[in-house]
Amino acid sequence: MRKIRNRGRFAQLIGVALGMLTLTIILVSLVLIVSQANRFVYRWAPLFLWRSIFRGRAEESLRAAEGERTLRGDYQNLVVRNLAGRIFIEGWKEDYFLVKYKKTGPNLASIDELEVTIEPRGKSLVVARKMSGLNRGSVEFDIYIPAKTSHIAAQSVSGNIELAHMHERVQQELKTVSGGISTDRCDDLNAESTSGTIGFLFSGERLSVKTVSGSIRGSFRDVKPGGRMDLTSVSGSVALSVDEGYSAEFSLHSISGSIHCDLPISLTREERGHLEGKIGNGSSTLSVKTTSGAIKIEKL
Amino acid sequence: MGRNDQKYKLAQSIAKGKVSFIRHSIVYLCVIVMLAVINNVFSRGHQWWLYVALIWGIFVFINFLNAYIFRGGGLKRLEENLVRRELERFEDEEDQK
Repeated sequence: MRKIRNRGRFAQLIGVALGMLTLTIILVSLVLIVSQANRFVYRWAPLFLWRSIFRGRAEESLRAAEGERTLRGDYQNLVVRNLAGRIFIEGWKEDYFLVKYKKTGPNLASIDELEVTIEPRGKSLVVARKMSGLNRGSVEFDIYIPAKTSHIAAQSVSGNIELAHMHERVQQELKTVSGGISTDRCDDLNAESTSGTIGFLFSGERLSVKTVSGSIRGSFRDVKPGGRMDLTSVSGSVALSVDEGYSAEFSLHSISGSIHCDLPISLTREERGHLEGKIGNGSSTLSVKTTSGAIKIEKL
Repeated sequence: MGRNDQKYKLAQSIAKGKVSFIRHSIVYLCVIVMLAVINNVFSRGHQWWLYVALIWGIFVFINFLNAYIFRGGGLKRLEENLVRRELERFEDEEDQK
């Protein structure tokens, strides 16, 4: 009889424990659902626009967190990886790197999720937005680089990449999907964008510029002889200005766009939408291909 | 029906309620853990299993209250009381006639 009573008590205790556990799960779920509500509002933002219209202060839902870091070291390569947000890189006279970042998101939780890493790897300095969580919000980078930097690799998905006051002989690899690319001076350049305009001043040996729907606006100054320059666009125009000493064997293709060249050239082949020839003595190679955009080459 | 039979039936009803709750809560816990794992393995973002845990949990807790606090079913007792009250009313009406 005692055994049966003990078993009954055990069953009773288990039942009460399960009941309390259920109550705990209900309360924890409730708390987590409430804390998740902000994300829900962000995800279904258009449905909740009336809130900001009603309050008339939509910007207040955006909060920003900023930071900066100074790095002293013999870094020759700078690598920047971003997902959304502008990347701005400027050359300066100081002998150290300064990395400023500004995180923006719909709420504090999303800003906390945005993680920025700045880490040296050998001769490289890697600045990156770490991929974690829902990856909402954006990070803007302002990076100041010393003259010893010889190579920059920057890539983003949605955001412009801008390089200003660049030192001499800096090789650059710049890639973005939705955003423009501009650099005011570069040695070798490899630039790719899907929907943005690409602008550059080139004075190196190797140039590769590709865009799908954006235009290309470039200048060539003191290009090294024996170099190769390839520019490709699908629906954007290509406008190039070259200095007086520029010489190249060129090949210009445009299926439905016009081709215009202001420079004295000698043609070796002329067809509809296709020109081949030489500028000067033809010491380097220039290839421009576009499907529906115009090609224009003029003096700098 | 003897008094002992009535007591036995009541005890049986209470015991059934408790066993039913224990079974229900174990199934609840297993399914919730499974859903939480699925949610976090396939997409770490939105925690949708919390909605299931909350809504289902409320029903499990009602089951708990019914089995352990009201002992043997609060609704059943309410029903019995109402039946008894109606029977008394019928008897009063018949007496009046």
